[in-house]
Amino acid sequence: MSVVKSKFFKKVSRRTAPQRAAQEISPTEIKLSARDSKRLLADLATPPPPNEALKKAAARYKRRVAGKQS
Amino acid sequence: MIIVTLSPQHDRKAFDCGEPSLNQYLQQHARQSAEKRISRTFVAVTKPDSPAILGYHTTLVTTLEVTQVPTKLGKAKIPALLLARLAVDQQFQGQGVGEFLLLDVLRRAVIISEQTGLYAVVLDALTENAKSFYLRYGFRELLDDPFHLYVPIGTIIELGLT
Repeated sequence: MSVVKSKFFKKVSRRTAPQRAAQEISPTEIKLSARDSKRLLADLATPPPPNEALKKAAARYKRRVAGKQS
Repeated sequence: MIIVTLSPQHDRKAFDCGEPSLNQYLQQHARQSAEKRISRTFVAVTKPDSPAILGYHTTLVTTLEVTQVPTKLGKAKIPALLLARLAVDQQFQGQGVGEFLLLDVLRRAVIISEQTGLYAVVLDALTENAKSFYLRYGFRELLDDPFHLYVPIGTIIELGLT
């Protein structure tokens, strides 16, 4: 079982991912590195189009929701 | 299948997704966190009055602190929706429940973005399998923390979910 340490969180967690998942959630702030900041901001400025799998999933979702409403 | 807010009528003890930590969260913390207004948990059920939980998702608002922004902004905090938990009961895995829950999260993200402003949906994948599930739908990895994934709100809006 590996110890999860993320330098991009303000508080370094010494609990494993499953240990954290079992806990109550507390509001967090995710601190990004310089290169991730750059990547994220570029994606936010010019969002990539949804991929085919997501488009198909959205179509299935809409059909299911519409089916429940009719 | 429909998605409703987690309530006392739901049988949380019977839920088993195969990952004890996610079962434990649903059974012990999900309602408390909702009562404290820290997060919201929604469950997939077959009918509105059905106690059996097919799957659930928990979300809350978070911020992404971006560094070295090459503008006057300096450090900036970007609001995002954190998909903190998503799990499907073992009996219903492989039947599209996880996908339905994920799309429900994305639809809610668009609604929130229309009300307050929101830039992305982010999550911290628990396992490699979970990560693969999200990557399939176009989530992107952070380079320095590859279990943290995100999808920009602009990408979600294009789906026309609302």
